[in-house]
Amino acid sequence: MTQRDTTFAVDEEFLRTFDYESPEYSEDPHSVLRAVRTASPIVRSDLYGGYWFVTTYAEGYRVLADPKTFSSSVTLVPPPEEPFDLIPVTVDPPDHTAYRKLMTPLFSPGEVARLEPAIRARARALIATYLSAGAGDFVAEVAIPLPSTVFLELLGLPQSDLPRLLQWKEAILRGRVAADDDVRNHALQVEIPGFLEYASTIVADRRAAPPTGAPDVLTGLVSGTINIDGGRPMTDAEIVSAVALLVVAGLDTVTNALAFSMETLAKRPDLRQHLAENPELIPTAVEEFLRFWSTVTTSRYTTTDVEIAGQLIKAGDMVSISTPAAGRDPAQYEDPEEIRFDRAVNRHLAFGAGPHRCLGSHLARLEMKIALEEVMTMMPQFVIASCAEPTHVFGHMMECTNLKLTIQP
Amino acid sequence: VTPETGIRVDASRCQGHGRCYALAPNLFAFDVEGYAVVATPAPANEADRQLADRAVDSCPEGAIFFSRDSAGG
Repeated sequence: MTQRDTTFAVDEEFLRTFDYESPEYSEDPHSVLRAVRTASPIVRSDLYGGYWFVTTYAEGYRVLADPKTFSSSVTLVPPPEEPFDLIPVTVDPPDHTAYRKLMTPLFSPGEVARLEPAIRARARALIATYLSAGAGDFVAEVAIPLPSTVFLELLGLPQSDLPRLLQWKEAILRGRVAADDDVRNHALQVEIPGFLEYASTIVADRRAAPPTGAPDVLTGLVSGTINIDGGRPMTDAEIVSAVALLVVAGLDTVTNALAFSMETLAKRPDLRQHLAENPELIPTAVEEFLRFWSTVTTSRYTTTDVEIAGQLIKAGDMVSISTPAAGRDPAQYEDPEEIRFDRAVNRHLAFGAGPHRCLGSHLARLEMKIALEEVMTMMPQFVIASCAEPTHVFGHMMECTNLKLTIQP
Repeated sequence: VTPETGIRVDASRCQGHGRCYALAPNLFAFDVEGYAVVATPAPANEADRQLADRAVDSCPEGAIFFSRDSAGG
């Protein structure tokens, strides 16, 4: 088994102060993760009041699949000041089960498949605009707007809401935690209240007038019953929270998965050509990109003392699971640093595992599949634009923030 | 198909990853909520039996079971 030489060595002191928001990590996260994983499947850092950091597939899966021991009441280290609950992400069973029972069918493979023509039309239109403008930043022109236009389709909302949605998304995901006081205050005092008012209005509108066309997710949330308090509809506040979750969890995740896939293909003409000539490989290529570029580090709150990989995790301890590290765990994958579109078995934690496994995984896969299919048809030959290295932000999310491409004839 | 042979999905373990029906749409389907159900409990040929083995190996939740009968099917 080949393993790239790590240029990064870790010692006790590094592990004790491990920080996935550190300069070393933001410079080259996978070298850091490889070194940490080589030291131990789970390490303890004293930062942020102390937390455990899991870097392997097996241990990561174990934590995610055991919500009784590892609660989702807190899912980020350090705990954020959330402007709203995110139903059902921050809810534990049994209430979690009740929300999921209503929401999961709305995102089932059969339901999302009905969106395929609409998603394809949106993808084509965005790529056509991108090409007619002479290419440029694929992230800003295609990878960012695509999931937001799909979000509007999914909820049965007009595409004319797109500019506002993109603005609110920025405020919710970045503005509210920005270092700049003005940016942060604007997000917290103007943008987020504006989004919550919008969400309340669309819920009220939908209650007043169900759509005449095919049922959408918003209609499903408004008209469904949840098994809480003996069975009742979701309240407006609960639906607003669920809509906020779709914004937080469903937009940038797809943007980054798609952007990293495109960056890889732009840098690897062999893979790009192979995929263009064999588009039937796109679904397994999507799985491989999801594994290789898993983007989320999520966390859990330990409810009882438990041992993992020989370490005693105490009740009250936070445990972070690095899905980027788990996706390249040599104990789980043969040649984990190699991108292969023909892995017969490719389990990964990109969508998590257990009861909180990503609600939108089938939609996310479909968006990525369609986007890559249309790319391979409309612009099969592309490379990184000269003198324009892609830019990234590597922290608790892995982000590709700028990807300038040149289209070859 | 007796309980000892054929393909089985443990509904209490399935979390709806969808690997099985992506891999073997002739053997697996999904219910209205997106959880896996068995479409073909007794795969008829060796190619499908190998697909069933791959589905077992691919399920992240370990929810799929496949045992061949004494005749190999």
